[in-house]
Amino acid sequence: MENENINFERIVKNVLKKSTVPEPSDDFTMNVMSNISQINPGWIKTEQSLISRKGWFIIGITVALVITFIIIVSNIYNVESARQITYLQNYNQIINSINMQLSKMLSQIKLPFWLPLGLLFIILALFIESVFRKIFRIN
Amino acid sequence: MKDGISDNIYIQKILKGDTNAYVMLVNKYKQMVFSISMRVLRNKEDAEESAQDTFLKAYSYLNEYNGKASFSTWLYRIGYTSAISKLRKRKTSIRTEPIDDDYLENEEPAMVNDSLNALETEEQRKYIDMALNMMDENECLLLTLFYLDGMSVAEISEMTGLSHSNIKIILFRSRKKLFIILKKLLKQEINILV
Repeated sequence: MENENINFERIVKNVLKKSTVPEPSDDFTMNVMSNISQINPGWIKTEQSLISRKGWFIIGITVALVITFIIIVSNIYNVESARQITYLQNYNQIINSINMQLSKMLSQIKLPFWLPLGLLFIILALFIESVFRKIFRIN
Repeated sequence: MKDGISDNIYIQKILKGDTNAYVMLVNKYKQMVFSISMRVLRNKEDAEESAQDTFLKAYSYLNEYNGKASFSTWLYRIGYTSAISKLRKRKTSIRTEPIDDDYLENEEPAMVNDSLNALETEEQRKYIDMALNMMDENECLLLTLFYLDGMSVAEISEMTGLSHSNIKIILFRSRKKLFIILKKLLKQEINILV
């Protein structure tokens, strides 16, 4: 019985060897690769610079603000140091001076009514963009 | 094992962004994936489409391949499910041959084989292809995977999701069925030999 089975298995194998082996088309690989180039599976890690353009922009603004602040503070400090006032007094005076200077500067500027709306729009756009990037994993 | 290691090397390259490394895997497995699709769908255009879908799906989910099973088994499983779902979507069903279980005598497979051997190679191929096409898609696929491609029952089980015992039963029935169909097709040749 077992011999018959082995023989049967051997015959099946021989018979199936004679069947047609299906072959894919010649341009199969090319078609697969061209379709692959059109999809973004999300896990692909593309090379990215350590700091993005937006990152550099934020750093630039921060640095500019710090420098401006230091210049203003050092100017006021030089004037006030001549009076030999205490640290706390000095601090209050600095803040007051900044407030005054800012008030003076701002009172001369006439802002168009749409500017705050425009700024709000830009901030919102940047926020939405960053959210979408995270959701859709766009690099 | 060596194959598995080289597959993993390519997979790591692809995951790091080297898309072109996928060409190696496509070239290596396209024949087998296409063969699986063809055995299930019995139509070259549908099989080609299903095989391409298989490689696209495999690429899309490559980061989810955990390496527990070999890459080939993982890929063939995607190929099998893709072909089966395409078959279910297709309205027209394939006509399969009903068989009578007591129809094959013990000595008959050898007789069928002898009468096949008496034919020209092209004729032999024609009859065997006809017989395979008259079988159920799972029977045809399992027969070719086991006897032609040399896959083990465990590998077939992992690929198709069928249990080991179920696969053995299907294999037993389908090899018998293959010879019953061949016997019917080769009736004239067998009579000449007898």
